[in-house]
Amino acid sequence: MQIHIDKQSEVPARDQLRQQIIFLIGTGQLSKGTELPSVRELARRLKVHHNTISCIYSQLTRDGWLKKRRGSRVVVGQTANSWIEEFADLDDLINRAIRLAGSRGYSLQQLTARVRARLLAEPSDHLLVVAPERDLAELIRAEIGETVGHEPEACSASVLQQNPSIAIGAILITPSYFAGKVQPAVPAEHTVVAISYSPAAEHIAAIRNLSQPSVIGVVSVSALFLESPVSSVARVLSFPTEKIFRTVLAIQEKVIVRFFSGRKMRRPHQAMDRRTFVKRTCVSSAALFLGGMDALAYDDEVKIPPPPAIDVREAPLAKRSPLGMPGLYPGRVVELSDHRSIVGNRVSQPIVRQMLERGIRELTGESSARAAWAKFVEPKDVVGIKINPSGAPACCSSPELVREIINAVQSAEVPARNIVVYDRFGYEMDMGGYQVLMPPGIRVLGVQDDRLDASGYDAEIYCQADFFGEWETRSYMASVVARQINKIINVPTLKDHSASGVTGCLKNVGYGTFSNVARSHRAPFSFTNPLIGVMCSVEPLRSKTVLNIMDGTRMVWHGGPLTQNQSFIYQAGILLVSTDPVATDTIELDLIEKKRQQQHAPSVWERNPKSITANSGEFYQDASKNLFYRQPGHIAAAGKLGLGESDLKKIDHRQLLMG
Amino acid sequence: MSRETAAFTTTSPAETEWVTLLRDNTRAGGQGAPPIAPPSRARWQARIGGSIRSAPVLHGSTLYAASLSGKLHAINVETGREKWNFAAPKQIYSTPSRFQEKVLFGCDDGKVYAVHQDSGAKLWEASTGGEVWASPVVCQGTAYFGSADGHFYAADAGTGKLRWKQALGGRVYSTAYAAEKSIYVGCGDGHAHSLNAATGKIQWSVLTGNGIDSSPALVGGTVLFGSEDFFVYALDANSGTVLWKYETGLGISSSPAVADDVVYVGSKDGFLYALAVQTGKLKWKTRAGEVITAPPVFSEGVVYVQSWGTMALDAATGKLLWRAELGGSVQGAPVIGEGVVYVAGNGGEVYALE
Repeated sequence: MQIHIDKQSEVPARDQLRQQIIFLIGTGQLSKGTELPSVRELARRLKVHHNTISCIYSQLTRDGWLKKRRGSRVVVGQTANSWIEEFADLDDLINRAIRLAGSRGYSLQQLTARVRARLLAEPSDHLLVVAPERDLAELIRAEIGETVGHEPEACSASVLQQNPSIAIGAILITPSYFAGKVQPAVPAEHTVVAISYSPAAEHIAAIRNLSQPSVIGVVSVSALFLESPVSSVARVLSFPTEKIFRTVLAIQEKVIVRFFSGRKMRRPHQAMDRRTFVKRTCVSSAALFLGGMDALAYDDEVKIPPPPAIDVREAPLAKRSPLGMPGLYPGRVVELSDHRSIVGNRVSQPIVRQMLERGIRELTGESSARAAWAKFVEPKDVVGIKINPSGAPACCSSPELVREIINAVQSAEVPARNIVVYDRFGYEMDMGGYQVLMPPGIRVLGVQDDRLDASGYDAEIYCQADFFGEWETRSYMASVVARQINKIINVPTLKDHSASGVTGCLKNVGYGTFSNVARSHRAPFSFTNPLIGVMCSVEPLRSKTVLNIMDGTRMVWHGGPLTQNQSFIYQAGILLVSTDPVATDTIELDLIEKKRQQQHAPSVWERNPKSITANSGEFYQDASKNLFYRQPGHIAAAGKLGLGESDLKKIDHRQLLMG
Repeated sequence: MSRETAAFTTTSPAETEWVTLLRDNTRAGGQGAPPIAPPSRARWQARIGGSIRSAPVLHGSTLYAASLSGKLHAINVETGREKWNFAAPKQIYSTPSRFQEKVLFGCDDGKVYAVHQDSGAKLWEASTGGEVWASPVVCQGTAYFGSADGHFYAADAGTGKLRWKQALGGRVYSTAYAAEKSIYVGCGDGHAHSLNAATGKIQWSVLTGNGIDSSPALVGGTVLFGSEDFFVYALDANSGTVLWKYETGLGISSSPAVADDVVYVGSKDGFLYALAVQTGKLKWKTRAGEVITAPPVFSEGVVYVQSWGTMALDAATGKLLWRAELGGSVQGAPVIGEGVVYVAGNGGEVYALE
């Protein structure tokens, strides 16, 4: 009987011995009926006290592993597989394996690596389609399913990147041009099957033979697939054209219909080059970041690492929209205050309506609210209303305010079907009840169903940076912003943020539009500065964001963004209306700083390590504690990127007291 | 009109049946099911590949759970293994509902589907103009459901053929209470309505201070529901007269469970409230989590509720009996089986706790 006791181990000898005997029985090395050494013999061999052995034998006998025969030694009481049958539940089996491995001295890291290696070595038991984007993967899946009678699994490349373990046990199928990108993501021994599409020669020949100017429709569930025919046609058509005229005529869920004609076509390579690649080093942001620290340096100040450069890939625009950030009225912020707007923690929709009307008129100088709204939205627009539900239900963009904004947008003759209330996380929107509380006819959209859902993002527009050595270094822009809506009304809440200092206009529309943003802050450090500002500067987000309406009916002065603690939520009863997100957030930061001062809470600029806690429970109960060294310098950094005015003295801050 | 009482008490399903939200149309939850001790382990757990935002339902040895992947899954309760699944075109937020051999559910594609309980084969579909998150409720062969298009629908539960539809002022996510002659339902514009079950004509409407997501319960001629205006309402079923209302600390989207003249309802303020049906007087309230939006379930002196885990409270005192940190959801309702509690979570997992 091979048993070894490691006297250096932290695991008591008694436990080591017990687990090893069970292991030998469980793995069949000790079969039923086998005699075990006598107590004294084993004690002598292992150099442990005989009482230890006696105690273990008694315990194992009680548990049924051993049996005591009258007048003889103890024998094995169970068959090798009986314990496996007893622990037929998968979790129990795994738990047992973990414990046994531990008793043999294997670390959890070793166990993880070996289990993964063993799983990877197992024969494949299913097919997995991987394509550059989700819709194309679905298309291939459906076609393979129809052909072979067995529908494979499917995912986008980004999902595979985020979660490589989904390739375990799979034969990967991918378009031939993409195989080179998929292979490195999976172990060498994995099979990657490359497939080819049918050639488009037949269709191209038909287009070439058209006898008169024609309109050609291309229909696909795959946005990516649509790009191929467009560029293919551009390549094969020989007539002197300078411009591809493309219009998204209809976007209905995942079916996108594009029409294009052949007049004034650009050169093919230009037509295909529809994105630009920009690198933003954000040196100015870094300087501000460090400057902010200097102003409030403590003796025991922690060394905060500088932020990395951020690569940006964005959609090129012929011309930046004058309505985009900082918009039509840079540096102007209208603050409306009415204590009747929130009573007993309930927001009054009629009062909010009055505040909104007054605010939009003051901002624009128009005498009627309808004329004022017409400066921002037109009847042909598809308008996105970007809410902030992350603190729901205690503090989120008030449904009452959002309903009034919808009414106002409809007053500018935008039909209900072209209004989208959206945010990143569907489950947070559920918590705020937006689906129920919005008027019929408008769309209520959560870009993601859960934290790993990448299907709602555009793989062509992203910010890339390695902040903490994270596996996925890209954050992608939400497709609804990139492709579906052309105007955004930004409706943040007025609240602090444990990592960025405040979560206002910039963070709501920037971090609420891109995926995978939580990676920018890992306690206690945060690179929300400069990432927030950089994201807001990415086109088309920058040009599409035309108006900011900050809901300050409630003000969270500590515990943001998720707190439900009413002690830190002040019923402030204000709205801030502006086209300039930087100026608005500068006012917000000032309001929160004043409130924190009044409540004897430290500044959001504080850098004292003693205020940092790793205990989120403490953070949610104690306003002097925080999880991160906050980075409110992101507001000034965004100002340096041209998104607005961050100098409080230069802001045209119009305060209107209404009730 | 005669006073409507719990119309289904005489036709309650067998004890292993859990045909719709809160078990059946009495809205009592698990009343009648055997009591359950604190769970010591999960008999099994299953991952079904999409977030589950609704409550499962139970029929014999099969648990039906719908997910945001757009699939309805039939799970063998003995093993946790899937028997079949039905793939709908879009996400499913609707709690499934059983009628005869059919399983009914709403979908984000604007349709209500009926599939065969044993095979998952589609039997019929009925179209609306918006998402259907409410659970289709069947009464006397008619399926009743609201839609995000602002209409309420009645369809033949056998064929899916439309019987009538009624325009309401807001989105309808509240699961209706279907009685013999009247339908009671809440609406996103803040109205609670009573509709004529045969024609859809509005019999009365009561305006609350905000939208209604909560699904009404009917007991002894009293309609009970919560509103996002923070109040629990008790209305006279015949006239809509407000009998009493009780204020909680935040909005209510949880649906009430009723048993022994007590209404149990959760609020987004994190408390579970027990109120006397007749007077609205508070019997107890217990903080069960940060937020409660799920409907509680009552069973033999115990109230169960999900709030990022499953909790069991003593129905008489509100004292916490046990808590299982499983089923990370605040939308689902647990299903009480014989010695087993089935819970589903946001992560797409289903547990059988025993």
